[in-house]
Amino acid sequence: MARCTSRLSDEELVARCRGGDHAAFTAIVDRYKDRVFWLVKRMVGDMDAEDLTQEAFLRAYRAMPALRTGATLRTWLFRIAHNLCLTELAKRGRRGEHLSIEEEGDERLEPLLAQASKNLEERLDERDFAGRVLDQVQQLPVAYRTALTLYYMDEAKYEEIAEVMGIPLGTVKTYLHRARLRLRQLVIGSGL
Amino acid sequence: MNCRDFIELIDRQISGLATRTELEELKQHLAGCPACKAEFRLQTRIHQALAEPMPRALPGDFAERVSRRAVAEARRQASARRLGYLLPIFATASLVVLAIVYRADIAGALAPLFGAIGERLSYMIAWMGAGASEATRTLGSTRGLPAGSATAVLAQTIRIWASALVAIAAIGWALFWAYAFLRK
Repeated sequence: MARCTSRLSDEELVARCRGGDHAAFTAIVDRYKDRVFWLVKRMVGDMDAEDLTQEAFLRAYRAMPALRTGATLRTWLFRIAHNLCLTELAKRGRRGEHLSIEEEGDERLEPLLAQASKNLEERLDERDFAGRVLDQVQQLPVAYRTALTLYYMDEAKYEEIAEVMGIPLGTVKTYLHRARLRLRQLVIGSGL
Repeated sequence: MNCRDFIELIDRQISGLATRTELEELKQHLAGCPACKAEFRLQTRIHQALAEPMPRALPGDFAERVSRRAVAEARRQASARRLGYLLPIFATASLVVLAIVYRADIAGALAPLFGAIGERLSYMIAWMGAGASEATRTLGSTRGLPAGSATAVLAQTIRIWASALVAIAAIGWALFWAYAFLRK
């Protein structure tokens, strides 16, 4: 049964799920669990990430009848998870801190690498460089983290990111640009 | 363009937003600027790090667990909705039946109770208006209740309503077990 449902398209799975096919819902969770978990983890950190991922899917199940025909299941699931994470961050009292990104803008884009520790250049080729960069992602404001995560996850389109985050297309591009430059600063600053 | 502009341009190149002219300009600059060349390498490595595949971190039975929970929740909510409609109807019907069964007792119990309250109110009003002695003379002595009547009325009322509450609790208990049975 699992093998059978895993081959179905998202639209077919949603239709079956609405018809009360539990295996179809299991297949949906199985298909998107890692991506939703990754987004949640990037937005709220490790703590409660699994529980929030589960809650996102439970909400999706309850709201499945409201999913309009033609809407992208993936985008819809991400939006549910995104909203859930924002609520969680607000509860933790951290949302304001991480969303205060409008005030910044004048990033200092000096070629800092030349002045940074010589070690950094050598460490670029180290095997755990990627892991260290990902650790620095957690230092970014939540909107930047979210945009970056969605962008690099299956290379989501700008339009999809805008829909998930509920922001204009131009803002997505600005967020991504600023996020990468801010991350660069963090990487240089940390010396890795 | 200076090096600061080229840092921006490297990001645009990585994002696939740079034009062909900009790319050519960047290529020429990188050939003669070691700092920007290092910058280009750094940004490319960050881009590659971000694009690395997601690690699998959730347990293998995650989908099964979530699905089971979702279905169980949906069933529970459906039962609760059914019960939510039934319970007030059943409670109202029970009260109506009880009121019919005990109508004689209820009427008998309430009449003296309201009578007693009325008597005491009249006495208080007369007391406030004419003074205690006059009130006692005009109301208390002529239309006063027999001794202990208020206690008897209260006891009778409590007995009736207590039996009604016990009946409602019994019905509620039966409904709870019926609901628990349906959930299985």
